[in-house]
Amino acid sequence: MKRLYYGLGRRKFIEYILFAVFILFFYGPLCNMLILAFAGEYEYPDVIPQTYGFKWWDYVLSRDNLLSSITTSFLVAVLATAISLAICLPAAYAISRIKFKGRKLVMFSFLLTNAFPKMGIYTAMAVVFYQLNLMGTLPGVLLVHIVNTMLFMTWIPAGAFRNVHQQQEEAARDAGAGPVRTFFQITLPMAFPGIAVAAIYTFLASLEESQGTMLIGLPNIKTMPVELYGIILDFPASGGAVFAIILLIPSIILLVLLRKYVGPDTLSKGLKLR
Amino acid sequence: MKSDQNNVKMQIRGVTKRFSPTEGVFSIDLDVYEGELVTLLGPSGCGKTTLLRAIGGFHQIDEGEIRLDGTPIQNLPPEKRPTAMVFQSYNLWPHMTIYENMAFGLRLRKQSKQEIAQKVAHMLDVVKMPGCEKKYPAQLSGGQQQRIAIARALLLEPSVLLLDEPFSALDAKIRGQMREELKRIQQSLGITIVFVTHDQEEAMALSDRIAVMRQGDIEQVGTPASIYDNPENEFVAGFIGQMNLIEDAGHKVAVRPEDVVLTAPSEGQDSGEITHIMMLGHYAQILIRTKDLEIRCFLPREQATHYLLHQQVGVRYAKAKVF
Repeated sequence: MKRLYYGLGRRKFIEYILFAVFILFFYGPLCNMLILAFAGEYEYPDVIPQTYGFKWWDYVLSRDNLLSSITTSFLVAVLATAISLAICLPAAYAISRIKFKGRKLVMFSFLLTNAFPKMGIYTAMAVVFYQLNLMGTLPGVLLVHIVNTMLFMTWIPAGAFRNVHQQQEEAARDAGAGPVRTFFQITLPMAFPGIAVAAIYTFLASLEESQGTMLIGLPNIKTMPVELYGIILDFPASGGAVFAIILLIPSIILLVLLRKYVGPDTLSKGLKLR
Repeated sequence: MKSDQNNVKMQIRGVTKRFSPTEGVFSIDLDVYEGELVTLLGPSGCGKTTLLRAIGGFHQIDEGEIRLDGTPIQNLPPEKRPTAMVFQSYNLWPHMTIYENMAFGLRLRKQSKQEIAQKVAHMLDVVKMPGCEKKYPAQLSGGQQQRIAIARALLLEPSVLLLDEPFSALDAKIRGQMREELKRIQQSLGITIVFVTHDQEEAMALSDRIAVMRQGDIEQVGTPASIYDNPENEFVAGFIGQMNLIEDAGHKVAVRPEDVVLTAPSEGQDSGEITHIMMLGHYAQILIRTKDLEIRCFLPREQATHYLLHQQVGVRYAKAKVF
């Protein structure tokens, strides 16, 4: 240790230690989860399982309510993303192109839902949803998910639309394209990276949303994170780990597929208030 | 001038576009003839781009009429107007190849694939960029991108080509080449062009006629030579080329530096001391300090060598314009 300390120099040494701690914090739980998920026999006081296997995978995959929650989760996430796109893209376009009075106020208003404790908002929504008979229904759950994603879905695409220069749209009009064709053939493809990033965030946020879904969706709509609560409470940790990995897979796939677009650049561009 | 004076291509009558009481263009009248290149020239904020955008359909005008080939076009959206515009920058669509960029308008006109490919290839030849169909705009230099933008506009076979400072984002050397190129293309295709610039040198080099604009009005329209030699007012005199403006008995006398003749101290209309001699290539600039002002004089280099700093000289004005 002493050799290492003097060999690296004080500064480097501390940096390495901090980095090691960070890695441990970051990947430690993930590794533990992987070990748990593939554990067979695993009893106290051993640190690692005695045997490995797919015992818990069989268990999880054989339970109908867990399987159906996977379907529900993806259905909700796809629908929430699609509806959110349909609502927020026109708003984003308006914010980026039209200089109307109170534009900044509108942009700030999307922050509101993120400014308060989520549970408070959900409770307030629940009160309204009872009256509208939306409790325990798919539309109710979708609404909760969409409210959560509106900030990202307007701000990031608005930033992307701003990067499409007005001349580029005007050149298309000039060449004979109407406003609609110009939007779909010029503006939308050019803003695609930003929109894709926003859509991924929305999709992933919807997949992992649990508080609101539990409050609004139970007992009829059970997504994966909601089921996860039950599993964690009722079964050994291994069952939860398997389920958590299943929940993790789509995130990893999406991020790998679209890593070209997802970066600090797109995010910071989108979140600039202009 | 090669254009036929009687053949009016575009008629602008009483066009007004107000952004505020002082900003915009006010009651503009202008005729553009078949096959000529007219430049709208003026300082920034004079309304030249506003007028061009109004012609292209990107500004709805408040009053007036724009007739192109005899048809009023002021109420048509840009996509329905037989005009094509090239902007200062960001003309091309970065997600499309050069071919797709150029074919965009032709595809909308439902032309056959074969026809489009042929036209695109031909137009790339015209702008001297053959074979770059498969490239993306980001792979081209700024000058090349503007060539493609001009080619794309020409493919639309517009009645009038509108150019909004298309070369001002390019560096000086390329800008010069592009001017010559544009002039060549215009002459070989016989196309009518309205060109906006704030660069008087560019306007002089390119134009068949120049419309000098200030604060939303056209101050003077004429050939480069007539505007240079006979400016109708002080603003035009001062804006185009260099000009000595001399106060004389309540009038302003405008004298071009090349019309200032140096004489012996006692023989001129005025006299003074040489304060500055600067070689500017094939000619030299000499500044003469008289009693109340500084006179600028251009002399051929050979002659300039006869004069020394702080020498007393007389000045005579070979040609002057009184306002």
